[in-house]
This record gives sequence, structure tokens and C-alpha cells, in this order.
Amino acid sequence: MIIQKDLSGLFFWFKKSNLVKIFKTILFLTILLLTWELIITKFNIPKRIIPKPTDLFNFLQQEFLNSKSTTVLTKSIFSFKDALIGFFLSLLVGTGIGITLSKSKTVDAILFPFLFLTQIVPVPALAPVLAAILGYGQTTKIFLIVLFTIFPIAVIIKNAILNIPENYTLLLHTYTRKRFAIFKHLILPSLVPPLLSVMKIVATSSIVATIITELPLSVKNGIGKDIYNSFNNQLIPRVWVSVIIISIISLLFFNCISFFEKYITSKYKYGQY
Amino acid sequence: MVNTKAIEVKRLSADFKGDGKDLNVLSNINFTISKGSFNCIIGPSGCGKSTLFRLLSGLPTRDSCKISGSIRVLGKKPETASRNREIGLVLQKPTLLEWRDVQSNIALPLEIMGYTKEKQEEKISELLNLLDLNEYSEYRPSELSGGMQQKVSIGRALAYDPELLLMDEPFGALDEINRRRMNNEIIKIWRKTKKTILFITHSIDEAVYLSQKVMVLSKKPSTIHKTINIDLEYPREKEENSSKYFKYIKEVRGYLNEASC
Repeated sequence: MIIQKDLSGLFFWFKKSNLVKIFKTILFLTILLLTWELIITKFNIPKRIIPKPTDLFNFLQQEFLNSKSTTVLTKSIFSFKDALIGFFLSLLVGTGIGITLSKSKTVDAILFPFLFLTQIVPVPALAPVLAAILGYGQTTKIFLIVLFTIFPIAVIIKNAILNIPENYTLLLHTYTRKRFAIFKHLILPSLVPPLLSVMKIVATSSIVATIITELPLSVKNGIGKDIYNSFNNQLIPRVWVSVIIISIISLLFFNCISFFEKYITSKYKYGQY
Repeated sequence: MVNTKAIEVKRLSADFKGDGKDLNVLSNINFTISKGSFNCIIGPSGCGKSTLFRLLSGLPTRDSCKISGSIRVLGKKPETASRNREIGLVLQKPTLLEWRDVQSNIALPLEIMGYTKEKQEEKISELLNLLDLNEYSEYRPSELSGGMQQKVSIGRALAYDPELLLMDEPFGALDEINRRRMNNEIIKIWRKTKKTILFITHSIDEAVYLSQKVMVLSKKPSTIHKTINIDLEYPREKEENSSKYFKYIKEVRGYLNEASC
């Protein structure tokens, strides 16, 4: 029987080194919260400027134990759901655009300036214009998220295709003249590593985009709008807790993708040849 | 009449139209290669070996390239021969797909050409035996040495049983010891499979060690400067130190010197 020295797979998190890491993080957080609490109490900084950790915990207690209405968590999850839709749609469309741009220099020359435009026009400015056309619903929101995140995907995919060495295309050309076969066996698999790394960039930026778009579009159930409203109503601990929750969600999302990337690259030995 | 010529090149010239100046790469090249023979082309670097290789393999050349003369590969145009899957290519670099292991790299052309699963497996095990790669069948290219990688790429070229193998400096990046090892391997493969091989190299020793016929290309505009028939027994491990072997080396070197100045 083979006894694995390092536990892996499902037991990944129970590795000793990981436990030590988790312990260190908890220790660091405790010290951080304590100093934070002490500094605020010592200098008497009012709640509306910076709340204390205890204020945040009080708010959390009220929010999750007493209130029956929608909490910041459900609102965050609502926003995250939209971010996810935008994320996958953007990946799909961005990859498509990247492939199209790599195929023809003329198309690239015509389309690229428009693509670049998505990066320089600020989303809050574009939102009302789009809302007038598509309405104030989810469609506009998703559209804006895609617009906000698509640029790096298209550019990275385009460059990845153009960087495939010529001898590979020549070699496959001797096997078949069908473009689709070359695409399936050479181009698509070579796109996996760049796609995985661009996914990490877009993971966080899609969440940022969701929060930004919620404001001009006045999306009721979203956390972005909630943060803005809470701020206007002087509910500062609510703002802080919302920001922390959304950061944790982003972090978890990012880590999931990193984990997935590690799994794929080590399984198929990408990037070592 | 049975056609015994694998390659027949007549009055082949190739010009590249640059901005303002034309570059004559190949001029009046004539040669024939008979079926089942091992041939080498040797020439100074930048003499148009790669252009010749491309033309013979039926790959598209650059638009600015103007070609005259005729090339017949197995009695057909190179494009047709390539489309009929009668040409196997081994390039300078192994050009393996990093995400596929050894056996599925060898299976790549078969998959593309639509062979059935059973046919693929049969062919793979046959080739793994031929190349002594059985224990490495599940290794990825990154886990193999340069020589091994090139061996896999030879296996891939042989997978669909082409009549002609075109090899463009396949062992150029290997050290002397590995190169000789691979030379012995390729001779073994050639003697077992009876394929026609055209091998491009810039090593005199490799050319003499491997082939029955060495063609020396001159520098640009290149033409066949001299053809030398090597009359040595295979396998050539024993002949390597004979005076006859050195005589051939000297001869090829002499022609190569003439050709490059």
C-alpha cells in the first residue's frame, strides 16, 4: 500500500503548513483588531469617521440575529451573482473577439480603437446612455460589466494566438487543411494558460464593475447601491461591513480560480516546455 | 512502369521580391532521389536549405516568393503528395504539444486524420516499440531530453505511414554524443521501415555517417555544387574510423569550402 507523505486533494487544507498559515493569519487579525479598537477609544475618534471593531460586531449582530429584512450578505450575494454572469459572458465574448482580432490585420485595425474606447470611457458616465437604450434592468448592468472587463481578455487572447510559433501551424498544416481542426487541436489548447491567468484579473475587476454600475443604475438589491445609501444615512458601520464582506467574496473567488489554475497547469504540465 | 523516383527536381529557381531588390535564393537546382534511399543535403548556413525544404514539403511559401522549374514528389506536385499524406516532416525543433503526453503526441496526426481509436492504439504501440519509447508513453514533452523529444517527433511523422520523410536539421541542437546516438536510431528506423529520407544538416560528419548520397549546396543563389555517393556498409559504427570514411569527410569538406566562398 502506498502511503502518501503529503496529503493532497480534499485534504489540501489540513496540511500542517497550511494550519500554521491559518493560525498566523488569525493571530495577525486579532492583533490588528485590538490595536484598532484601542487607538479609536484612546483618541476618541467618532463613529461617523472610523468605526471601532466592536461597532462592526454590534452591527453584524443586529443584522444577522435581529433583522428580518434582507441583510448586507444577501445583497452581496445578489451582486456577486451578477458579477459571475458578467464574468463568464465577458470571458466568452472577449475570447471570441480576441480570436477574431488575431485572424485578420484589417479587422484588428478597425475594431481595436473601439475596444480601447471601453477602457477610457468611465462606466458611470456611460451607464445613463446605455440605460436609456436598454432600460434600467439587469441587461444594462451585465452589459456594463462586460464592457468594463473585456479589454484585457481580448488583448491577451489575441497576443497568445499570434505568439504561437510558426512551425506549429506549419506542422498541423501538413496534416490537414481544415481550419477548424487546427483550431481545435492547436489554438484552443494553447489558449488555456493565458485564459486562466486573465480569469484571475477579471475575477476581481468584474466585482468592482458590478459595484460601480449599481450606483448610476439604482439597482435595488445590490450591495453597491446599499453602500451608497448607508453612507448617505450615516450608517458607517454598515458601509464598513459591506466593504469587508465584498472583499472577502472577491478574495474567495480569486482563490478558487488560482486553485483551478494550479490544478490544470500541473495536470497538463503547461508552461514547462 | 514503376516510378522509382521519390523526388525529382528540375531547373528549380526561387526568387524573393523584397522592397526594391530581388533576392535569388535558389537557382537551377536539379536532383533526383530514388525510393528507399537515405540522402543528405548539406550547405553553408543561410543558403536556402529551409526554402528548399518548404518547397519540397508542399508548405505554402511567402507571397513574395516566385518559383520556376518543376518539383515532383512521388510523381506528383508536393502539395498533392502532402495532401495524400505521403510526406512526413521532422522539423528543427521537436514542435511537440506540451499538454499531450508522448503517445497522444504521436497520435495527433492520426486523430486529425480521423483514424479509429483501435487503429490509433495499434499504430501507437507499433511505433513505441520501434522507437523504444514504451516506458515513456505517458511522459510529457517537458519531462524528456532533447533527443527523446526529437524521437517522439519522428514517431509522429511516421504515424500515418508516409512514403517520404523530410528532416530539417533535426539533431542540430543536440550535443555530439546524443547526436550520434540519434543518428544510429534513425538508421535503425530507416532500415526497418524502408522509407525514403531526405535529411538536411550542416554537419559534415552527420551527412557522411548517415547517407548514401550527399548533396552539397552552394551559398546564395544556391545550386547543387556537387553530389557525392557514400559507399559504406550500414550500420556504420565500425566504418567510422576507417580511412575510407575520413576520405569522404575530407571530400565533402573540400566541396563545402569551395561552395561557400
